[in-house]
Amino acid sequence: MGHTRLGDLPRTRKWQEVVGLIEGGAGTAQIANATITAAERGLNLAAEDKGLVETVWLLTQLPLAAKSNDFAAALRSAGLDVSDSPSLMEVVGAFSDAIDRRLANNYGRTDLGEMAQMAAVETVSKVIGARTRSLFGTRPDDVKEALSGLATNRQFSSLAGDFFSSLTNKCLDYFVSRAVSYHVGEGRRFGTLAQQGEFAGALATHCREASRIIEEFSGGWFSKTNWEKGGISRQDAAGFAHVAMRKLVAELKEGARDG
Amino acid sequence: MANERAILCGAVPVGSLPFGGDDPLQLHLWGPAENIKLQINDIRSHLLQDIPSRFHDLVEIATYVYVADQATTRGGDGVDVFGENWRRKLFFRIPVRSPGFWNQEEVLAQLIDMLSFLSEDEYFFDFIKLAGKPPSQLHLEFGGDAPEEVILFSGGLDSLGGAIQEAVVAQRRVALVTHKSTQKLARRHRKLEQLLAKHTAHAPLHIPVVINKNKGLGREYTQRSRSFLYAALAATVAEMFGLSRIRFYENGVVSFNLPVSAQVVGARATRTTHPQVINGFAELLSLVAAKRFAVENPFLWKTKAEVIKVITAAKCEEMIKFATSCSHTWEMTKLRTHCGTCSQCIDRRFAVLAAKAEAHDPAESYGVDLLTGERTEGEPRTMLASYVEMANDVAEMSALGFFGRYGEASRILKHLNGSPDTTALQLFELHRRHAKCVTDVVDNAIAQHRKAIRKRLLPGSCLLRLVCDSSLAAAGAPVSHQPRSVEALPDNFMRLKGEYWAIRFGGNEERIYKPDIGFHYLRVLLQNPGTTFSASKLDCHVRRRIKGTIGAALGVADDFSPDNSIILGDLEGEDVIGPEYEQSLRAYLEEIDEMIAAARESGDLAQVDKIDELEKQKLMIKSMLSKAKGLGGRNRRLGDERNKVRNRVGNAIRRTLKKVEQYDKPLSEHLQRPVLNLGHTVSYIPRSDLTWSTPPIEKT
Repeated sequence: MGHTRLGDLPRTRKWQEVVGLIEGGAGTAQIANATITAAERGLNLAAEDKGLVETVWLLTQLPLAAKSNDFAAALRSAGLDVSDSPSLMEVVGAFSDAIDRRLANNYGRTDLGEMAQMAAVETVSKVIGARTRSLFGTRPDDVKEALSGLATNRQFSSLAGDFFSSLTNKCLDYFVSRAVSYHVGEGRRFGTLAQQGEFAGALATHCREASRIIEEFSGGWFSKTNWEKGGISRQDAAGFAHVAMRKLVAELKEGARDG
Repeated sequence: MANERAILCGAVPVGSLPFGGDDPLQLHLWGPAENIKLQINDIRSHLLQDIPSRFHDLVEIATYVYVADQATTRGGDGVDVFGENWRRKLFFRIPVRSPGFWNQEEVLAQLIDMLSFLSEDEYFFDFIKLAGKPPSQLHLEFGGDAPEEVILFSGGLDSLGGAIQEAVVAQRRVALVTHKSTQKLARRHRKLEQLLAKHTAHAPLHIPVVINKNKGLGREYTQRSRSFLYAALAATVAEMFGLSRIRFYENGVVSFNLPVSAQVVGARATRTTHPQVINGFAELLSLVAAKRFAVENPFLWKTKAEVIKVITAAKCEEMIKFATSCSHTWEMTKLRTHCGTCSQCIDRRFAVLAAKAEAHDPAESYGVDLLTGERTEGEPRTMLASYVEMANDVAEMSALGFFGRYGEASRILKHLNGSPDTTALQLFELHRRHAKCVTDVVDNAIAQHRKAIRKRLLPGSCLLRLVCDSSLAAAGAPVSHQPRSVEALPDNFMRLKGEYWAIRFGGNEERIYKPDIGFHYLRVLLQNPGTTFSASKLDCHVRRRIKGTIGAALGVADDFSPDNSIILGDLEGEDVIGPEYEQSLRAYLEEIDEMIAAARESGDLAQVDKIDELEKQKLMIKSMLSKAKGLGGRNRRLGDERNKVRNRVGNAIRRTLKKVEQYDKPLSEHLQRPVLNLGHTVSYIPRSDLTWSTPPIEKT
């Protein structure tokens, strides 16, 4: 019964600019710049996005929970419904469910928040999975140790960088994927699906590079806020998310212009 | 503003509405204002058994939700603002037989939880006591032996596999509840009924359901809430047979429905039989039935190819061609039963080929062949590309890569029996098997069609050419998604790439710009550093060159010559077209007439194109001459005309500079005064060592 339908970019001038750049063979930086410019109105709402704020807040809570004596209880107090000995996959599932519960009946849910939620669970799976060397059958102590390692200035920077890189890539691809496939085939920009795939890879790399700007300040913010306030509130997370998104948008626009 | 709608069902009072009070949707299942008709088998004709009131309420609630879902648009894509209108806010006021039950906090919460995940809308309900009974109660007429299992039967391959599994393999008595969405499928459903009956000792009981609604109520195609209605109907049938279980049969890949593309966010990928939805149905139905009620999907860990193997193993392969998977039923004809382009058709055909059941699924029944058929631009090509790319990726992924790429999988981990780790592993393996099926089909097809691929005999947009382009393979061309290698090109260049402009400055990455005449002006300026032009000269030169052949015919060089002042006079008060220029144009007109006459006399068909071209030139010159004359045939003077041209040129270059500013900061900073000067005269005066490469524009 399940089916999927795909859409196109709007026919407004700013979006047709993106389509034109893809067709004309522009590089990923320029396409990212045009896309961000076209999507700016939506991105400006990021700071108020309940899904994004909840996601960022929960990301800050994982390493803090892992630092506490009762890891499972600390996770539960952050809203994650986990057993006393949670595995990595249990934490990942509970993380996503906690955001869904917070946005019960879709109150405050947006596509941006949804992408943030997915980017976060993907980042946690990748980062912690790499540290525990497996996703399946992980021991609670290993998960706790891997998560607590993220509580340092440097490691939280890296986690935040990974998360915002993934989120940015999702946001750009959310738009660009509506146009790219129009340019696949003989005589088009992308002669084959492999070339289209390589373009997607290049876009991901560009996002990774742009998100370095997040790494520069996120670790410091995390440590300072936690130290000064004895924890990180949703309001703190909202402020951080707002600054991070603003910096990212500026980087994607300004960075692409520089060279 | 949020996408809000109030829905008033039956003869409920309008009263106060939390939102959407300006234009509430009125839905009626009966009475003079009836605009929805729900028919289950022969209801209202033979009374056999009354439907229990809570289940009756459930079916009506589900019908109202299903119809309101279709009657309320999601506002298109709403891409600009991240699909803000996709999620709607829906308020229902529904008359029910048991308002006390439906208004219970637990029941409301369960109903809203399930629906909000299923359709991604925000729901509000107000249940009030049903006043006045419908003209006839809803009844179900059943004959024969009571079934042991009630299953949802869409007539697609998965539900057919389920029916075969139950009725043929397990030889159980089953009731098949079918939503008849279109009469086009009636014959094919009947054929499946006959064939199923032939293969089993207990012919399945078929319970068709028809929902008719007024035309104006069909505005939104997505219908995310439809499986709630199917579940409500099937559960009602089960309840009446004393059963406490219903089964959906859907392969796991479609049930989980991980996004095939980055644009597919949340419930853009249907959640019709997602484990969270199935659990939600079970919870709600348990409350309605006041006992544990199960909803199951026994094919959850099977791929579609594996479902087809269930069908072939049961020796029921003759039924495959009568199963309908296509969602584009409006395109269906007797011979072409599948469009071949929608996601279901692509999924079905890959599965059939992977299960080696193509002998039972004729290729002619597809509008477009999966592997070698030409795909039109837009969704048909995008869908196929996304489907195959996802399989390509997953086939090569580690578990870490899979869960690091498909975050949607996290919504499944805690909603199935078994530990999240076991579920995660099963999920990964299921998708790997599916991906392998798809990539194997493609690999085998490439081997089978290698000669046709090499000779480029297949359409350029078919799948086999999209995955294996022969021209690239032959040439060994490198693939790059960055602009051309920075070492291979000059540090500063401006050239046309197809119809787009490519500009590189200071050895940086080249930037691409959409066509605009301002870039033509800029190009002439960059080509002639240190030269001062009048705007009209620049304009005339550029326009002549854009028109191409006229300039060539008049012997005007492609390279601009500042002394070429014959084009436009330098002094105010001169004629728009000077006498000498007018004379040369008129002489050329005569030449054209002679050339046309000679070409016509020759009677050579090859001259037809030449005649067309000459006629075009003639028209263009006549137009230029006509524009140069004012009232009474007097010559137009350059005064006003020159100002207009000056503004036009200046504005076009400024527009261009604005684009450059958006994408290329160093170049934008370079093209400021005093390097670039726009005014009565136009000039580009860079430092002496800066040169530009501006390859000639090819005439097309």
